[in-house]
Amino acid sequence: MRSPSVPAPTGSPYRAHRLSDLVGAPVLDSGGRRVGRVVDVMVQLGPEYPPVSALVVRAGRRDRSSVAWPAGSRFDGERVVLGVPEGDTSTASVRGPQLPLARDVLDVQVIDVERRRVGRVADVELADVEGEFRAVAVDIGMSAVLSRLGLRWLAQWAGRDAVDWRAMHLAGGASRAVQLDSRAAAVHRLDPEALAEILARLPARGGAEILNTVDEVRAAATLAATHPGLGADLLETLTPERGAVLVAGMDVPDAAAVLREVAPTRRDALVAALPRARARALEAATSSAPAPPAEPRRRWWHILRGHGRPAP
Amino acid sequence: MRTRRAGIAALLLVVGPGLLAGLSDDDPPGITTYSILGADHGYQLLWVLAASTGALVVFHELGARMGIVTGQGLIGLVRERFGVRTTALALTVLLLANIGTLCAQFAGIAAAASIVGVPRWVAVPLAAVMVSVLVLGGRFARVEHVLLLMSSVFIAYIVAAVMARPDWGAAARGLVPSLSVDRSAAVVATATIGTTLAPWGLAFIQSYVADKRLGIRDLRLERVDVIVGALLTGIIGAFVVIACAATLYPAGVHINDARDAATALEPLAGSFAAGLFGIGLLGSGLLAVSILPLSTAYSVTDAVGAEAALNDRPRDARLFYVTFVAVVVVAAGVVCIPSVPLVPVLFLSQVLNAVLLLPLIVLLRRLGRDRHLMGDHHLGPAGSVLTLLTIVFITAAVILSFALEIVG
Repeated sequence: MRSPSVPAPTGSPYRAHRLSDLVGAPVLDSGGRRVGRVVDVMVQLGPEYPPVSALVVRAGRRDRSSVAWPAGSRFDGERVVLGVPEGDTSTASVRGPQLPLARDVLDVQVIDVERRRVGRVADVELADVEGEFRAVAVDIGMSAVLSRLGLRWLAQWAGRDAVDWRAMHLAGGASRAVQLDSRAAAVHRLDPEALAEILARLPARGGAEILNTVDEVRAAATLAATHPGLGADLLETLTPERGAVLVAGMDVPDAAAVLREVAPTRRDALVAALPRARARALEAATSSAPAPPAEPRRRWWHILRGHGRPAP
Repeated sequence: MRTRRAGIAALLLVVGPGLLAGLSDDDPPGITTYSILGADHGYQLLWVLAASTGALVVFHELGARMGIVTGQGLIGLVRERFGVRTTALALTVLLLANIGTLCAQFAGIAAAASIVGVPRWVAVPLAAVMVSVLVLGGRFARVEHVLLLMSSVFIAYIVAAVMARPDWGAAARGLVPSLSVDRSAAVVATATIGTTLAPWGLAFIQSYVADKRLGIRDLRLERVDVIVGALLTGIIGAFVVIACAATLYPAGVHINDARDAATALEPLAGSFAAGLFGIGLLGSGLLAVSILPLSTAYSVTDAVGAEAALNDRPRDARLFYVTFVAVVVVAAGVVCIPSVPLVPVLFLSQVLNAVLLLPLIVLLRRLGRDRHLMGDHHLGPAGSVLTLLTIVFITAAVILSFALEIVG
C-alpha cells in the first residue's frame, strides 16, 4: 500500500502519543484533583495539524462534560494534567469547527485515491508541535489494532502504517475518511472526474460532505461528472441552498439530467432558488426533454454496477 | 403504461439482497427444523414461524436500510461505533457460527446426494468447487441472477406440500398463537426462530446491499425486495411444516433430519413428492453454500476495512477471496472426514447461531437508532418498539427452552 511517511512536524524526533492511550486516562487539574476520565478528544479543524481544543470527560456514570484544553495542559502517557488552577476546569468554549477524534475518526474506513478501501483508522497519533498538542498522523496498521486489543506482545511483530494527517481528507463523521496518497493530491486539487469517482464509492452523506469542502465551480463540475442518479442523491443530501448554487454552476443539459432524477419537491425547491432565467431554462429542459427510451435501461445497468462506477 | 413497466423493471433490478438473504434461510438446517416442527407438532406451532417471519421482515429491512444509508456492512459499523474489542468478539463468534453452519449446509448436500446414492466425498468437494467458481469467477450481476435462479427450487416444497393433501383449516388455526409449556415444543420453537432469523443472513443483507451500491433513492424498492424475500421464506417454511404435518404427524413418524423427511414422505405422499423434497434440499443447500462464505468474507473484510466486492479482481481484494476459499475448504474438509458425526455438527452450529443472534440484533438496533449514523433514516419510535418486542420475544423463547431443558 502506498502511504506517505509521517514527517516530524517541527524538528525530529518527536514523541507521539496514541489516542487509544489517551481515551480512558484520568484527568487531573494542576492541583492533582481528579476531574474524570477521557471519553473523547476534540481537535480544532483548520490548521494542517489540528490542535487539541477540548476533552470530553466522564466524571460519573451520567456526568459527561466537555472541558477546555488550556495552554500548559499535558499528557504523560498515563494521565492528563490540565493547565488550570485547582477546581477551575471550565466548560469548553472553543471557536470554529471541532472534530471528536474517538467518535468520528477512530475506526472509520480509509479509501485511497485509486478508490480502493485500504483499511480502517486503527489509531490517531498526537504530539507536541509548536507548543501545542496536535493530531499529526493516523495509523492504519495491524499493530495498532492488536495494541488496542491488549495484545501488545503480538503487536510488535505487526506493521505500523502511519499516514500524515495532512494527507487525509475527512469525508465526515458518520461516514468515512478518505486517504489521499500524497500531500499534493488534496481533494482540492483532484480534477472533477477523479472526485466523481471518489464520490461513487461513498454513501451520499459522505459525498455531500466532500462537495461542501471544494469550491463551487469544481463542485458543480464534479456533480456534472457523476452519474445522474448519484448526482440526484447528492442534491437531495446537500442543503437546498448549496444544491441550488451547484445547479446554477452546471451546464443546462447536465443540470437537467440530474434534476430529472431528483424527487419533485426537492427539485421544485432547487429550481425556485435559482435566478429566474436559469430556472426557466431548466424547467424547459427537464419537461421538454424526457429521457429517451434507452435511458432507463442504461440507468438500471448503472444501479447494478454501482452509481457512476465505470463499466469494465 | 410505460411508467408502470419502468417501475417493474427498476424493481427487478434492485431485487436481490432481500430475496437471497431471506430465501437462503430456508437452508438444509432450516428445512430440518421446519420438518421436525411439522412432524412432531402438526400445525400447532405454525404461529411461531409466522412470528419469526415478522421478525425477519423487521431486522432485514433495518439491515438493508443501514447498508444503503452508510454504504457499509454490519461488522464495519460495529467497529466504527463500538471499537475493536466488540468487533473482535462479534467477528470471532460469527466466524465460528458461520463455519459451523457451512458444515451443516455441506452435510445437507451430502444427505441429499446420498438419497440418489452419491457418496459424500464426491458430492461435497464437487459442490464446493462449483459454488466457488460460480461466485468468485462471475461478475456481480451474473452471480446474482444465477443465485436467484437457484432459489426457484423452493417451489418444489410448495408442490410437495400440496401433493400431501393437507387440512388447510387446521393449518389456518395453527397460525393463532397458543402457549404449550412443553420441552420439545420450546426447543423446536427456539430453533425455528434461530434458523429463520440467522445471524449470517443479517450480516449478509447489509454487506450485499452495500456491495450492490444501492442509493437512498432505491430504499423504497429495496424495502419491497426485503418484504417479499422474508414473506416467501416464511411461506416456503410453512409449506414444509404443512407437508410434514399432513403426512408424518398423523402417522407418528419422528425424524432427525431433512433427509428422513424426504424418505418418510415417499410411502405417504408418493415418490414424486419425496423426490421434489430432495431436489429442494439440494438446491437450498447449494444456495446457502454460495451465500454463507460470501457473508463471512464480507464480514472479515468489513472488520479490517479491506476491499470487498464481487466485481473486484482477486489481486485487488485478496482478503475477501482468501476468506471465501478458506471457509469453504475448512467446512467441506470437515464434512468429508468419514468419522465426523454430522448431526452434532449441525446441532452445535445452530446452538451457536441462537446464542449469537441476540447480541447481534441488540447491536443492530443500537446502530439503527443512532441519529448521527443514520441521519433522517434512523429507527423511529415504531421501529424501536417493534425491534424491542422482537428482542423480548426471542429472549423469552431462548430462556424458556433453556429453563425447560434444565428442569427436564
